Amino acid sequence: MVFSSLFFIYFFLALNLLIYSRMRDIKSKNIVMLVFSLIFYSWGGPQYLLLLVSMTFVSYIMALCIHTYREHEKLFLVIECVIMLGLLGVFKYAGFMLGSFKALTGIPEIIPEIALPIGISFYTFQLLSYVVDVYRKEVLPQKKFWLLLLYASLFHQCIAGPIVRYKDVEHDISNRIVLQKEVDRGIKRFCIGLAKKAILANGCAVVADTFLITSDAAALAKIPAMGIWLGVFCFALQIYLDFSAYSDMAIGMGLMVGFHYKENFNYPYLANSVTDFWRRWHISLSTFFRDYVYIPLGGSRCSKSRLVFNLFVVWFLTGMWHGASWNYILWGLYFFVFLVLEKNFLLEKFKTLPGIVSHLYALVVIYFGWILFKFEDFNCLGTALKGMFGLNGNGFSGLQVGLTFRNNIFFLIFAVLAVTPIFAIIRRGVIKWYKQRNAVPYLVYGYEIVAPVAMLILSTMALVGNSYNPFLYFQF
Amino acid sequence: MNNNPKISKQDMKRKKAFKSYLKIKRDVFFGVLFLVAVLGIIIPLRPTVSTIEKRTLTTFPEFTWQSFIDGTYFNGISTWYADTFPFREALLTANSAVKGLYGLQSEQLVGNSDKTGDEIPDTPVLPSSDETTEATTEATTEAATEETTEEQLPDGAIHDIPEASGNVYVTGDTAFGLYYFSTDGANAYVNMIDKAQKKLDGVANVYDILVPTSVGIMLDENAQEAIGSSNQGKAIDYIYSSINSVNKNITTVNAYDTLKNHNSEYIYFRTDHHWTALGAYYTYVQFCNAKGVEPTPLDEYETIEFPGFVGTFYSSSNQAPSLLENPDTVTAYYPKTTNDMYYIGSDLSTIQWNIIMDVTGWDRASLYSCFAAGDEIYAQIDNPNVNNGQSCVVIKESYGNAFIPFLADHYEHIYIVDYRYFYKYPDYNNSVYQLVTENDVDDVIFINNADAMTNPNAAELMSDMFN
Repeated sequence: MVFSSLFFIYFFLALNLLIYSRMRDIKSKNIVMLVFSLIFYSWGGPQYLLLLVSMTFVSYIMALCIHTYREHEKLFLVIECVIMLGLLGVFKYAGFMLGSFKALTGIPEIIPEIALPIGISFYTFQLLSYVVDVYRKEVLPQKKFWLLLLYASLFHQCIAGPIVRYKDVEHDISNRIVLQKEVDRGIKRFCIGLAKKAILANGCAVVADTFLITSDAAALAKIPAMGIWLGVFCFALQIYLDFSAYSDMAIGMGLMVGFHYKENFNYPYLANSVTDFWRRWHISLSTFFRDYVYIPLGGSRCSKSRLVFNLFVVWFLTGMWHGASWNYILWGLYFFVFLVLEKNFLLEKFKTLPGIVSHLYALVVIYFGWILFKFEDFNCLGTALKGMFGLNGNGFSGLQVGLTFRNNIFFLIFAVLAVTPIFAIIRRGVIKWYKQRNAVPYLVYGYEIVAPVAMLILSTMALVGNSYNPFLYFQF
Repeated sequence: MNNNPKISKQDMKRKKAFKSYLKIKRDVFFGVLFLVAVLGIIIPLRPTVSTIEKRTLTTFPEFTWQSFIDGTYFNGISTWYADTFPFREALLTANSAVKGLYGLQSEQLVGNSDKTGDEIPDTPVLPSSDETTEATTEATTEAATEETTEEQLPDGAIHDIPEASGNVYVTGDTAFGLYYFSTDGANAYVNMIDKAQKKLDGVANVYDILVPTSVGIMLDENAQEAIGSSNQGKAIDYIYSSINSVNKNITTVNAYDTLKNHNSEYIYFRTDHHWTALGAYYTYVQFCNAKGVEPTPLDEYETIEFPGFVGTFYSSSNQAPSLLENPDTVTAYYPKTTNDMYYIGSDLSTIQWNIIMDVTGWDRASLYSCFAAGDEIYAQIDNPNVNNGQSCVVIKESYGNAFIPFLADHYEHIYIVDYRYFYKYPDYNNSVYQLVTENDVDDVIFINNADAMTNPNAAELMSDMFN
């Protein structure tokens, strides 16, 4: 089940909210959420539910052992990491690693095809963060297994993030209060996320996929240069809108029932450096690697060469987390290079230049990064890069590029505005204007009542008969 | 705190307004959500077919343990839920209207496939017939914007097989299906018709009519090149010259020049991939010239009109609103001497029908079916008012339907063979030779549109009828 589907919104979520609101005490509320979450997870194939439950059980036991037998805490931590990462490695990376090994050495002959359990990248990291936090004495272990299972499987974030730390929701799990103000924020957040995904991201995807042909290098070579540029531009919009939409919906749904998840995106395309970008993009992932890999390795409090090594490891892993394919690792390392440059002298340099320079620099770096991200096949990747500069004999522009651009120009302008905080800024300005006059902001209220429902209805229209609806980060 | 009662009153008012606003917002949102949720489970509200997309919609999946375990059962439920959502067609149309606001869309190129056309050779380049009739090509087995009607009901035809779409170019209120030449397809066609004539040698005369589609006639040649559509004039030239060089006994009829001549008239539909009866008429005149008979003057026909026709390009252009807002009108010309015919239904029963059927009130996408019973496994016209001893077999796809009515006044019997379905009719064992010899047929007329010769599968189907 995906969030941006009619079934999820109008059957699953509606039913979930209806039943949940009838529950009086926290225990029944949690039971409702757990049952719905397990059903939600099973929707992709009940066979993997067993894996999720088992991995949660292992983490449950390990955390309790660490807490109770502090003298052996390291042992249990190692067991936990080995099992979690081992399973993640097998399910997600075995095929990839064997394939690469085969490309180098010719063995093994046959590479097993292992299906990827949904959400394994997310919930594995969540469980790891839980056990490590218990180890670090930052949080007490959860004594009730079913509540830990609720944490790991909660449908809001199990499948598509954000990566929620147990200590951040520990309080919410056992003591939720629903505040009307939060429900309203939740409604709006959810609807914004839904519209971002169903309308904006999917619309950008259509344009991106027209020009960025990933399966056929020969066809890709025929795309005129402007087509590739436009395609990558739309892909950059698509991937942000797509991924942040899921976080928006998760946060919105959480607020509706009293869960508070941290922000996962902070207008990443406003970044003025690669360092800044990674503080704004998939924040829960970068903070995970910071807290559980970078800092244990020594972080920045070590020799310069060690720092570079630490960064290398973190960015190698970041790239690899995004996909079991070399282009993602390359993408991660691409940023590693710029991060090292920035740490060494670029950031200092930018302080002496107008802000716009560093902002443009960041956008250019990020833009080209998305090309690495988009093409898993290196043949196509090379063709696309060459195509951008007309080196495929593909011409500068063509009828289809011009037409596609003209056909979608208003939409694209709106999508670009949507990645900036301009709407929020305008809204704040209007509220301030009313506040200064001590008046009731009827205009704002009217907008706030109508807008979520309008977005819901428009998204519904967009989702009907929509054949294209995959979530990019779904291979996780 | 209560020093200034005025401010406090304002405060109270603001707080109250805020609370009401919160409540209203919640009620509105959850009201809509639950209302639609309830609508979503009212099963009778769910459609089973889509007239816009011309297909039956997903059905609720069958339960099996395997599909349960691997998730396909659940996936099927989600798909069914979305595919048959209540008011689907209205929502789709509304969504297209919203998408119409996305930009400046007077001109659009809707890519449903990434086909490209081969270079058209200047001189015939034919490999031996064995190779080409079995040739399966790399990229050109897609497309074929053929309409298929499995069933005809009074309320309009429902299509079981979804229409495959090629790329569509929309400008203003007119859509064009792009044409991609295929050397393999063209050569297969040539070999096929050579084989057919050789089989019928001495038994019947073979006529070949290749009809260009609207993109090759109505669109300026520079525009055709810009959108990547192959030149149909050249393509037809190539095929006809190839045919004439291998077999002098096939009479090729040139429709391209006459249609090009008349291209300021309403000879093609704007919202559908077919030609109009007027376009078919001008081709009929060329056929008569080739055969050596007098064509009936156009003004001697009685006519009937069916307005509000929104055809296949509407769905294959992702429901371009300009097509919906500017529908076509189907004009049909009644044959002078008879309007009766019959066709064989999918259950092999004989169904009496009209050559020009009154389709008033039928679904807006089905109005082209007024011609010659549409596409059936077999159909026949017996004209009691013609006694010249002449009969013909017409081998066709849906383009032929608009052409056949004009033949009705010239033949005692017309045997209509849709090469895509003839094999389903047991009486002649998929053999046109048998049909011709059993009925003492004089002429065998092939009439196909340009797209049919890009697809070697079409040639193969036709070739199978001459084994």
